[in-house]
Amino acid sequence: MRAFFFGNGPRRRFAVHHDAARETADHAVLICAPILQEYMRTHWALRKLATELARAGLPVLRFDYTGTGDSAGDLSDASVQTWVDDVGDAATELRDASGASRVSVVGLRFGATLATLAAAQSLKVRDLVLWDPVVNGADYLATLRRMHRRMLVDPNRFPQSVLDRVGRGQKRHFPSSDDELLGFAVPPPLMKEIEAIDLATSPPRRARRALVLTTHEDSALPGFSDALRDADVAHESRRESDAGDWDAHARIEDALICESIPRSIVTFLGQA
Amino acid sequence: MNEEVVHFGPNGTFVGIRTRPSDPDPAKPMLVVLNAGLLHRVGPYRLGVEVARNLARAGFEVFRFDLSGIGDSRSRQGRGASEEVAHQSKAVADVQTALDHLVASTKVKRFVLMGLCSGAYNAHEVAVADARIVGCIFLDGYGYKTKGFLLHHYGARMLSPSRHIGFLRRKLLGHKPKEEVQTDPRAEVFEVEFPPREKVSGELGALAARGTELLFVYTGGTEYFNHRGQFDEMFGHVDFRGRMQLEYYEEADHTYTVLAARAELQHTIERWMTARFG
Repeated sequence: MRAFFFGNGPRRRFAVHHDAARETADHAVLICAPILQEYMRTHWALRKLATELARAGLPVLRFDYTGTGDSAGDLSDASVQTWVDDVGDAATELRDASGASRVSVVGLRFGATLATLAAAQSLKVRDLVLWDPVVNGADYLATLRRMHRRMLVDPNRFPQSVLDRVGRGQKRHFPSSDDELLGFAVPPPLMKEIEAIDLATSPPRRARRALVLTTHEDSALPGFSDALRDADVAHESRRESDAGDWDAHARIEDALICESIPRSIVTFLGQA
Repeated sequence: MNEEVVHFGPNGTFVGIRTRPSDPDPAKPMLVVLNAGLLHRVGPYRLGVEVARNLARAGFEVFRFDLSGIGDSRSRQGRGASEEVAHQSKAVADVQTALDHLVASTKVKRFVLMGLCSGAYNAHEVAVADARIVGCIFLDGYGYKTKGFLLHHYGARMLSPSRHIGFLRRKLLGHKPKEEVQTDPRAEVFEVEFPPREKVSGELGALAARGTELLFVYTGGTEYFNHRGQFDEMFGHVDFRGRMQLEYYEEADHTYTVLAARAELQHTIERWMTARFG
């Protein structure tokens, strides 16, 4: 496993490459992580997935988008298109590092969204795994806003004395601003871009096939499945356990623990 | 400012990021940021990254790395890898491996450790064992429920609407309080899974006597510290020789989720580092 930076200046991005345990077919896997507080929750699970894929013979690259994780900049340097470009650049790094010409992409949550957008634009993808994808950006932000409001008055997070003062209408000593979402200040332009996302209008035409894994009900998913069919993207949708509880404000710092989904992904990507 | 990835340790076990100011001064100590619980070196809500970059702009080098088995660092192999070796002993050994590497590969010889939650506990244990540590920043570190704590705790409940406050339970951070608090009716303090107060007090006094600067920051987000005066109740008998600074942010949660709280913490850390080591 090798960690490194690629790119320069404000586009200097952090990545970790996992060598395959043995010689394989000409195939490597790019992992696209979630954003905001879900990034923190899922780091361990995605590292574990990368290790299992490498053990199965697939080189893997994990990376941080511009303005996130260990990459340069902050969210004021980011846009949805910047992040989509990061996916493309990371795929190029993976080809260079692994020697593989065919790249599959596993995206989790907004990482699945970015992978889809990249495959809708110019990124040729062998297999696309979309794990609990954020299909509708407006729904996603509405959920985060609701969680943020609940977090601010969570008695498991703040002391009773503080919540009582808030309840009496007193101003907080550390007020939360309007563009804050669960620990991050999301610049209004980025917020608008995320809000406008509807994956049903951007099917991943450049993916050979897609596997959509979901652990919760999402009213936007049927429309996305229709779009995949209309775009002639071979796909399969599966309901899995390993619930992410993505909308639970009490779990925003709980590690994602999963057993069956990584196995499903390794099996799917191992197919010819 | 520039950042570089550092692989170190046996077979490159560990991964870290070194953040250097434009004009590094090896006479200044390097801040080493330890993992908060099981979170990787980026930290909760990118706290580690923000601290590193802010302090680099203030002229300090910062190193963040993952302990073995956490984040992008591999598990230790061979000696010290056995399950019987206490987790904290492994963490202390890992930090000392990092310090050894930094001394060998840079011109820096002195270090300040910063840790949140278990990172704070690890910082304390390493500082006690290693004279290269000239400063510690304990974020929600060791603390002991005192009579004053209980008064504030139940006092708030008597005045508030009936509401049950659960214990903080997080898989990534924090620690579970004991299911049953074992108390000696004669004791003045009620401990929650920490080393005995007397031991920690003695060690803090020894650190201060050695010249180690200490910054204690507590938030309202723990279940064991709830008013500023509690620090005196816990450690008032320790002679800190003017090397202690205490901050209590009642309105911040354990992980500084609200940006205004995190900004205040960043300012405190920067001012303290500059005043003590600038």
